[in-house]
Amino acid sequence: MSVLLRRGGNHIGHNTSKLCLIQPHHITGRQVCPPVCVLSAGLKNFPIPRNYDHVEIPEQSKLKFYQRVPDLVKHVREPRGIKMLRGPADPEQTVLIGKQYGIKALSPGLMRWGHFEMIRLTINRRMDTKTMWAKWRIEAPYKPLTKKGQGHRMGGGKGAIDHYVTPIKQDRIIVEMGGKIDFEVVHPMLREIAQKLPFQAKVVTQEMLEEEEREEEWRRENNQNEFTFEDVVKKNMMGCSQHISKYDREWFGKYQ
Amino acid sequence: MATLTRISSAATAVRVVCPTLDHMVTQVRYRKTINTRSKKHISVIKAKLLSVTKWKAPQDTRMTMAERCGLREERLQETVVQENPLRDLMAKEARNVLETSGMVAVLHISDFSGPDRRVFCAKLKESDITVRFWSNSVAGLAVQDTPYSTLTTLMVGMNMYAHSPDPQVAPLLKVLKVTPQVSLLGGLVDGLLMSKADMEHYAQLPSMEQCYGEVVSVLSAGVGQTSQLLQNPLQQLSRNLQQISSSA
Repeated sequence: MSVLLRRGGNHIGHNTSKLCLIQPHHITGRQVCPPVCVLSAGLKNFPIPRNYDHVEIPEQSKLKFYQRVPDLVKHVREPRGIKMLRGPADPEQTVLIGKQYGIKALSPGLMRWGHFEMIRLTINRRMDTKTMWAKWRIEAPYKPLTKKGQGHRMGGGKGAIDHYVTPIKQDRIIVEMGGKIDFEVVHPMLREIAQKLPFQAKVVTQEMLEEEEREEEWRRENNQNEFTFEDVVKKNMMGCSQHISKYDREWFGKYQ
Repeated sequence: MATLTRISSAATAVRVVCPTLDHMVTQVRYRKTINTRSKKHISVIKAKLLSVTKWKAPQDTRMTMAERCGLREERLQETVVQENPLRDLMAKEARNVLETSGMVAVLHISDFSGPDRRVFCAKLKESDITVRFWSNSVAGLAVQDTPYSTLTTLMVGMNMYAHSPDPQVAPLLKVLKVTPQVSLLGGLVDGLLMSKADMEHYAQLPSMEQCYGEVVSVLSAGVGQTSQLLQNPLQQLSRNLQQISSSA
């Protein structure tokens, strides 16, 4: 018995194909298709699911609680240090350890305890501890930020410590997730978090990161422009050193 | 830069010279520029140099826009075609249609749906032509090991296939003339791969019987002429004799 696809319904209009069995008619012996058909529009290709046997799920797979204020004997007021946010994060901080899924910062910023709680609660509520794990890639808030009382005039010294933050540089991985699951399972919760962070962030997978690296390498090799900003800065073309900052001499326009 | 804008400050100069900066550029501020409500100033010379040293793509040697908008050649080679039994079944069906129908025309569709499409299909159905859709991958599979494998050059973009048991090119072209959203790319008529121009020429040819008649008349014309030439002097002679006998 063979199977064939037939146009179902009116031949005028959109395609609805049906799968039919070809059988000989019980009286005439002619090959006919009986009226019992399966709509092929509903048929899907079911690819073989990926193998996650190499992934281990630790016992405590949920995100840990991070304190609002660090345990210090003496709380010291620090300079603002906004310059420290410039440029890219350390190379080890831009790599996914679990090599699965995570959130990456696309611009620098400061993360408060509220953001930490938001991430922790969202992920811990949504994840399945038996098949997934989640991990922090950033420290608890350690940098003190001061604030003067409301309505006070300028002067009178530096304000008191108001809250603590974690400074985050560009390209840093914030939180990682993984497990015996596909990206589609994890993507909604990570995207929700990425939108709420105080800096631009996006959800990444190991494949995406590798792809970006390859793309960047290809672009570097296949640049039809004889001049790059790196050349211009290093050789002081057009006397531009007057307008180039020390950060351009390090990062060549990629980071400001 | 199509519009002329009055350059009033360094900030506007920057926006004229390089309207969009790369997404990787950050907006960290310090000291006086900490007021994030105002756009950060960048010197015009630096902006110009950044725009002049932008990345330029290598020339794409591919011919059609559809190919150029697709994946890069290296990426195309990397993509692995997965097993899909439904796709194989549809390709088998398509191959069956290709082999059993007298005509298969490849049509290109742009913005074609609703009542226009229904009317188009109905008009073609009057001449026993059915219009069907197969995706490019399925159609490519169907045509793979047949002598018509060069049809894959037409399988770029949104295509539909009009097939009929007899070659009905003239009615097809007549309907296509009235539907601007559909254009004919080429096809397989009577076992011959044809381009659009070939199919138009084919439509203007007379029917087979007429052609036979023309051939027969051409052949018999020669024979008739020789027989006439041979009979001419005898006929002339008989006419002359008749004239003489009647006059005498």
